[in-house]
Amino acid sequence: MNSHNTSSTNAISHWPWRPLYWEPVSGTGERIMVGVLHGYGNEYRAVRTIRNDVLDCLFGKASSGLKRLIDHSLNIFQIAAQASKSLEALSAPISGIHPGPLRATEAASASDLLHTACLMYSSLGNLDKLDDAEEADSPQQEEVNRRFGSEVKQEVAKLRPDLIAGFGRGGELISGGMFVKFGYFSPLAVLHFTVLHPVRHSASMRDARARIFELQRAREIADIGSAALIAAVPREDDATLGSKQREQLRANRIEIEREADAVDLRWFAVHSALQGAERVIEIAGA
Amino acid sequence: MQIKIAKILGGSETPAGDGFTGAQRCILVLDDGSKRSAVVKRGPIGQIATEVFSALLLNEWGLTVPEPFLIDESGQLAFASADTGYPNLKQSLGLEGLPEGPPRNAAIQVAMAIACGLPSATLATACDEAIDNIDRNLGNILWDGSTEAWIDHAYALGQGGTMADSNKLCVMAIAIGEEERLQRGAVAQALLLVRDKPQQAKFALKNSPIPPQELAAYVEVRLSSLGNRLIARFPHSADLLSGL
Repeated sequence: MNSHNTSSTNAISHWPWRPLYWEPVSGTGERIMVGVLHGYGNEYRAVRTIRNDVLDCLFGKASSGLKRLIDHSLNIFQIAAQASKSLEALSAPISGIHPGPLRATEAASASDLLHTACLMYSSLGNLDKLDDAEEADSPQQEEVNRRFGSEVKQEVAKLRPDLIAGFGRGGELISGGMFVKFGYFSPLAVLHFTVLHPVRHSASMRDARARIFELQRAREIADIGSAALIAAVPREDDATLGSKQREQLRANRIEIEREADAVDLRWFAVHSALQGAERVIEIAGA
Repeated sequence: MQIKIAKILGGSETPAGDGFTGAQRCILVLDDGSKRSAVVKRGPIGQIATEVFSALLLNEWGLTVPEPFLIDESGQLAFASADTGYPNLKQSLGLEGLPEGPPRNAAIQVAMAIACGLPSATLATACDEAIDNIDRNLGNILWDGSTEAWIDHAYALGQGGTMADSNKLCVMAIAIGEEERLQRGAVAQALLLVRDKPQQAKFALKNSPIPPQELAAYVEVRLSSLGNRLIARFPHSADLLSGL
């Protein structure tokens, strides 16, 4: 078993996993791969990889119940893995699901690992959907942004407590319209915080564009001098990113930068909440 | 309806998975020449008789138990339970495959919640109390995500030996905080159990080598106080008369 490498920044880590095979009729030995039990990022999860349409095709009306049964069995494996913080001992079958050999492979993300597992062991996985599945399982963009904004606020509180009052304030963007909250709002500056996520590309980009529009409107209505978008982006040398993700992230940064430039809006890419706080102080605390 | 006698297709036996200790999967050949996939169990005649009688009785009461068959192997009786339909996609809820300790303890909570939440869990609780089944466990509950079946009744009707007296569905419900719902449902089901069904199960064994008289009488005695027996399986709330 290869060891996990969670701290290295110049090598992709190896993460443990097992393919999970389902024996539809107990005791027959007839099996198909239905999921993966993995410990990517030391977070233990069991993910169903078999396509719904395959189960529908194979088992007809019984398929909706079987999805429940398979999901229940995967849940049991996930709970057991989380409790033992290991996949080593989980080698015996449970409720018709038989774990395959324990492996450790390089993976830049959980979906990357699932891709590898399906390529190695399955003919019935849905590779195109794996990214989507992960996106749906992750926190929503709004929640991610709020978390980043809160962290920036905490850092600003340490350095310039007098600026705290501006966080989370807002106003109407059109006469009689809805109240719109900004990351930071004061007579001197209006700011938004966003996160360019390496996996949720489209959601990140839509969110950043929406915030550029809100900043533009706020600047026009309130006649505020400085308007800026502060975006948290992963470092280019982040070891958890695959080459495709790195390229996509770079393209997204350039695109948002150009769109902000086009409406004469300032844009800052930061790698930490502290860097974000320094930008807030630079713009709003002058 | 009489219990059916079947033969095992030669060479068809393979070890069954968990849930059937020492059990074998096999193909049964019925009198009319048709074939059924089944699980066969061999053991002491008392346990074989209990399995057959319990399966007949519980089916009469509306609980889903695979259809029982008797196998006559040169004078030695065996019990077989046949799959309903093909393919049989039901799986045991048992967690014997998990290592003991925190992993199994955590998973058991989830499996117990599934077991106690099954539509026929309240009926099964009442039936288990009626036949004195002290061996109900996750491993002998089968589920395919839609419907359930209840198996393994060899240790009912006084065949449990030194096993502790327990209605394990009640124990599970208490462990996951579902005792109130299960108690209400099980007591209601106990009231609805038709009292002459043990006699019908006895009649079904009339032409078999199994003497069913004592088995039916065992259940009839318990039926007379079934509601109280079930209530006693659950914790009681303290009231003004407690301790008097």
